[in-house]
Amino acid sequence: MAGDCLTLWLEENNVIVSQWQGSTSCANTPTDKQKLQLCHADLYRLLQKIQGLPASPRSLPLEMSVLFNAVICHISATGRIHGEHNNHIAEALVRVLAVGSPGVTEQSSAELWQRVLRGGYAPDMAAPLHRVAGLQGALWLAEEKLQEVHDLISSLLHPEDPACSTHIRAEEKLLAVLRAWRVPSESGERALVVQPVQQLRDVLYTSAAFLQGIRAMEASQLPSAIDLLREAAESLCSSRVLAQMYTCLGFCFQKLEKPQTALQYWKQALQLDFRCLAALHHSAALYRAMGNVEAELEALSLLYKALLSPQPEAASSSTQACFLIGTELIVKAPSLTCAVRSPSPWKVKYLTARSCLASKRGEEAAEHYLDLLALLQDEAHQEDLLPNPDPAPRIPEVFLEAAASLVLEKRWQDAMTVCEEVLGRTAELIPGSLSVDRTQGSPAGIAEQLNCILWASAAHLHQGLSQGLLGDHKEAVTEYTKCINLLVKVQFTNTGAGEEMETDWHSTEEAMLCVLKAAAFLGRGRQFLALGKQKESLVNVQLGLQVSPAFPGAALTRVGLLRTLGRRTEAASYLQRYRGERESLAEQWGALKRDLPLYLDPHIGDPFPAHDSLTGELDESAEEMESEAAV
Amino acid sequence: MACAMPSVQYLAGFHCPAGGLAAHGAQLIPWKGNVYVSIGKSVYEYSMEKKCMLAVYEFATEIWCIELDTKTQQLYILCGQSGIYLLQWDEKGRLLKEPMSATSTGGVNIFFIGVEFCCLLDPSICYFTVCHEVLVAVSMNQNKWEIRLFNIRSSDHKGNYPSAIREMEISVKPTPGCRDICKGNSLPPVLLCVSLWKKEELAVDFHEFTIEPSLFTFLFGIDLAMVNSPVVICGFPDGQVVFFPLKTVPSPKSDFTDNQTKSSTRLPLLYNLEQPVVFLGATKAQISDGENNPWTNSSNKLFCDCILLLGQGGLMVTITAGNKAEGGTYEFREYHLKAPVKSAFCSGPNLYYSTCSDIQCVVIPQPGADLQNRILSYSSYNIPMIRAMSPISCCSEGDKEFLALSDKGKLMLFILKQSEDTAQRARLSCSQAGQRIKELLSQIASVSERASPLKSLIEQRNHSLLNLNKVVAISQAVLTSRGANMPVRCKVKPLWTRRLQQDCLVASCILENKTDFILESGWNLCIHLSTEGSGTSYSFSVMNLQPEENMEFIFPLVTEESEHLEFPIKITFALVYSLQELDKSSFQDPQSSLFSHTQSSICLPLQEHIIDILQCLRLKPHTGQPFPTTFHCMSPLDPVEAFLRSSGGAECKPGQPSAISKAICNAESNYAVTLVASVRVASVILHRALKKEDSDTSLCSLLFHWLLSAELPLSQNPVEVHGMTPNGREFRLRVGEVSAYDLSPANPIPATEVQIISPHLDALACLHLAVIRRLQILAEKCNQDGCISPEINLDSIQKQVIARESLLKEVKSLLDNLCVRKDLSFESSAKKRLLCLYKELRDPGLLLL
Repeated sequence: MAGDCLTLWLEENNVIVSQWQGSTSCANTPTDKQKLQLCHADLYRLLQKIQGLPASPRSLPLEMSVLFNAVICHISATGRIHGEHNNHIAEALVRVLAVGSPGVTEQSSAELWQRVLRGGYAPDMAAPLHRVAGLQGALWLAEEKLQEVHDLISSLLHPEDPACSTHIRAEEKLLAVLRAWRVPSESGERALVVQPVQQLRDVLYTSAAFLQGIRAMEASQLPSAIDLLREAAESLCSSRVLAQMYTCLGFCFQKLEKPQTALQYWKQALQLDFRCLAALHHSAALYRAMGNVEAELEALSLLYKALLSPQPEAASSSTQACFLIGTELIVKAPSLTCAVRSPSPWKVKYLTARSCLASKRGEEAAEHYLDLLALLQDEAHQEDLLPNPDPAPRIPEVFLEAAASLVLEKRWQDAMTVCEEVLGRTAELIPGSLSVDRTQGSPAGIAEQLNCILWASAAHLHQGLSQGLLGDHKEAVTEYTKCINLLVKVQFTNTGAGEEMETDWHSTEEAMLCVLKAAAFLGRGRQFLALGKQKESLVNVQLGLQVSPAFPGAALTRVGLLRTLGRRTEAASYLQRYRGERESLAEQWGALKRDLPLYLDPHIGDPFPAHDSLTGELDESAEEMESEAAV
Repeated sequence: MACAMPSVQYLAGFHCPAGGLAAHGAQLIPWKGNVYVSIGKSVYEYSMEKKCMLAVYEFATEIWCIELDTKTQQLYILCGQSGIYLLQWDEKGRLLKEPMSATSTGGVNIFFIGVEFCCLLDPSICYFTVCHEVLVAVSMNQNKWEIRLFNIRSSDHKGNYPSAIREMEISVKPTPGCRDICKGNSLPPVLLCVSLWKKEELAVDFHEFTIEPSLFTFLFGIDLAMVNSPVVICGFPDGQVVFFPLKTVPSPKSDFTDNQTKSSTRLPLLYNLEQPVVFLGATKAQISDGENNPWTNSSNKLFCDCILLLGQGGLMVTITAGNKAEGGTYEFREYHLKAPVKSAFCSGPNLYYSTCSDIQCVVIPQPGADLQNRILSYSSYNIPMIRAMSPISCCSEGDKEFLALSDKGKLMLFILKQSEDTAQRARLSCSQAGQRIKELLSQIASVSERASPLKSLIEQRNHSLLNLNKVVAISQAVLTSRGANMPVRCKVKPLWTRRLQQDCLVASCILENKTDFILESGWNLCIHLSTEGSGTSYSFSVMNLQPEENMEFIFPLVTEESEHLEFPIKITFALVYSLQELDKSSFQDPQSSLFSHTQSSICLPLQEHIIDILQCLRLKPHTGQPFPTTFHCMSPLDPVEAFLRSSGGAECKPGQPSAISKAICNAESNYAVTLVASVRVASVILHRALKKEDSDTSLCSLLFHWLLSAELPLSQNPVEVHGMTPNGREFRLRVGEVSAYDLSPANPIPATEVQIISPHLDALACLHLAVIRRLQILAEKCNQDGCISPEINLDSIQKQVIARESLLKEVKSLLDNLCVRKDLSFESSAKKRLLCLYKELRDPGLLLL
């Protein structure tokens, strides 16, 4: 009767598989996914039927084929590899072993495979075993167990195969083994399978190469990464995966400091698959690094448009090769690194706006920032699948930069509205006073509070500036006062515990604090000047200079004020001193400026009449004063 | 403390799968006058206004979770091992897609929902929620929880969702208190979506939780606050509570490193309860002075200022904003509630939670209150076995309504009067408290008064039932087995005792209890003696006869009516149980007895025994000696003799028997006629019956022993025995072997003859009948076994029969004449003739073959 059962099962398997093959050829539309699901359910039921009886050498080949079909259908239907597939294969292996040598104890999959393959098997088992071995290889590759795959495939090889020689580089062993794996022909098979083994082998090869390439890239072994990725690119894969490979290649070349090659690869990737937007993203970043603002902006705008447009699903299916397990299922997004991630639209917007601001394109910057703010508030976010490891900006900083761009565009009211938002949010977080230890790292709460203080004071600065330029000087004075009050809350201390440590934890923040204070004092001074209170103005300027001597324009302002107040001798002596220190101060300031955030630009620019003219005037007056003094 | 019961309305009962609702089993979502209840494999839509079921949706596998998208009124259903299904209705309430099949019974539509309604096919999902157009699905993968987000709006034409827009992972941290979570989904995770409160929005939506800005900013960071991103808080069965924003922005709590290769973000841990998380909620705990009744301000959308985490072991953690002077801090406070918590909801400053045995309500302490008391005082409603609860949007005047689903699938509506709540919060003054305590104590006392007699009554009833059970068991045992294996047996033996200087014959009955039960008090042994004329009965009560024990009862054989003993005496035994024993209260009050006096007993007939005269004979120990004086029986035999005995002794010297008494004693030798009666038995019969393998004893002695087994010791082998009947008549008994010729003159049949010799006719007749009866038994038994009968001459039998018949006719005519004619002379002659006939018949006597 076993013969009859076998025939029945064989027919059932063939019916199911031919039904599937007859319907459609691609597996991407949902109805097909449902069909696959049904197909899987039927096959699984058949497998359970077969596995209900004890294993016999005659039924084992069919059982393996049915298992193969069922697992592939399942993976393809649900789109991911499940842990239970490993268990299914292990169970089947135990049954195989039970036929030959009963009394198999629980072993890991790898050990089971070794026992099965070393123990010899009948010739009609060869093809199914190879098939299932290929499947197991795919499952292990998905879990990145490369060594196990290598061992498995090498035990599938015949002894006279060339891959068994040992003088191959470690990275290429797996590929060599895969290449040398001769799959027994399936022409004599009566059971239909959903994916031919040759295809599976090729897919494995591509996936292995790709995976190893990515790992090498992450480990910064760039030459071998490039080789592997090239190897992968030349073998069987879909265009989407190929685009990903090219993106990775470009990334490698970028790291090797060959920007042109990198750009070329990325262009190729885009041509293959215009949805591979990481390539655009990387190109934009490269342009920025090269200083080519135009190209960068263009790339970013393209990227943004592409991200916002709805992604057509149908287009992918036409370029998809029609097998059920492709490389993308094996080399899933989890193992792809930052190289192939495409950013979210708002980040792209942010990059665009930021580069506009940095290059002082006020109008564009303002527009982009406003778009960005609207985007952030929008309910419908198109999220990205993977988080972007690029350091992302803090939202208050985004707001502040937006305000800065608006100030640059002279849209004072809008700038003030944006600052109000920041102030409203940070108000609750600011404590009464804050003591920051320079020598020890502070807990996250204190760091956050410090940030809040800095942001809030920057916002007040913006508001003060805007009010001042709008003509409301009294309000401006109030705002600057508020800013100073906030800044005064912070105290940097040295507990002296970590004196041997060289790094100061909060040096950037401290510097920024000083700059902010100085800017606030100077701004207030300016307002007082506009209000006609010159003495107060002078006091403020002096305070500002005390805090940050290198602040541009501060010294000259002071000189100017002194002169206006009639204290010419003081002015003269100060000017002399200043001339001597000018270079060193400029150097100091240059070093400082690098760390300052973008949104402080309006304040550290030149608020006063042109530096040069003042310098020229002062030079004349200096000569005057010198001549007076000499007299 | 218990508070007033809420008013409960039973709305509907749903079919509950066998064994009660499973862990995922039940959920209810009220929405605009309807309730969606999910139990087992079905979702029921029930209308609270019309108080009837509207529709039933049946699914293929068990439903683990349902969610209602309030904006579009779509119902999402998670079917275990299958995926997420979506039900959409149009304005008229019809399903947008056609289900597989639909039936209608009793006005209720039943729809069978198949795979075409599935929008997310993934068997690994174990929980989900829908908020802000994002579907958050949680699945378990080996040792990790995977959270995936899907964009609802971007479903394709077939209604399926493409791949997830974001994936996050968090690994399971088993704690010692939690069971093995990876195996099976014992408890699903809990998801709560909170968003930032905005003053401009006035829509009151019960399912959306908005948190006040300061708490939101403190907890989740300023970035999320500025972007207005809703945040989803997840509680897992291993106690971890994490959160993630729906909009991807960086927050200071996550750490991004440059070398991050894994896609999974490490979700920031909010808290670890170390017990399975059962409920996450947000509510407004602080009541400022201006709003004394939060329920009347329903027009303003209230923001929540407190987030609650509730664990199954009774740990409640509240997260509130901390002291503003210190900047952005927030506080965690732990409180302990009664475990195990099954479901909960919060409304206002109250948290209602259900344990297995109760629903309790605690007041969430105000955020600024001190931390002294970790255990909150609660009020309980005494409603057990509630599986799921859900508040309904509060209605007028602050009566709180909530729906609850019990373990057996019953839907109930609870209405809590608002006044009760405020009463709880009012503090009692001392005198009021005292008064209240007094009232409570008196209530307790009255209740206990009522309770104790009831309790004793119940105990009594139990006892009676126990006894009844025993009685019935014994009855069954006795009635079902009759014959030799009777569980209750009686053995009877006649005995001679001495009572009041006279010998009397009594019977000793031994009652054996071979059952497994104790025959306790209430059982009586009823003994009924009946002779031909009359009968008496005695009744003994059986007190505690243990199994395998015997009890002996002795009762006289002489009935009261006649002083003479008439044999044979038939004795029947029966066990009787009076059912009045069961009702002990009838002893105190006969009127209120459950059983009427007359028909209230159980009667179990036991055996019947027959005592015949042969068992009651008293034999002389040795022949030739006079009878011992003790043998003189109770009643005098003859008035004349009695007179003579009594009178003759006066003149004698003491110690010497008088001559007259001697003469009287030797009366038997003075009688002219000794009557003889004999019975013959074929030896074959005796062989069969009495002979054993090893016997050198003769048949005669065997027969003697068998007939007189009571009195004759085995060692003796007499040929003739002297004895006295119970009535005082002397007799002699002789056994011998003869050959019977009268039936077959040619071949004599060997037979054994029993001769009874006595001067008294009545004794003779009695003994004769008794012997005949005994031997008849033997003969019948032998005939049943199939004895070979000896050859008989039929002629001789015929002759004998004719002879006997003539004699019989004569007897009859004489008797008739005696009755008719009252002639003395005739009488005496008739009597003499009768006597002659009697003698003839009796000697040689019957032959038994």
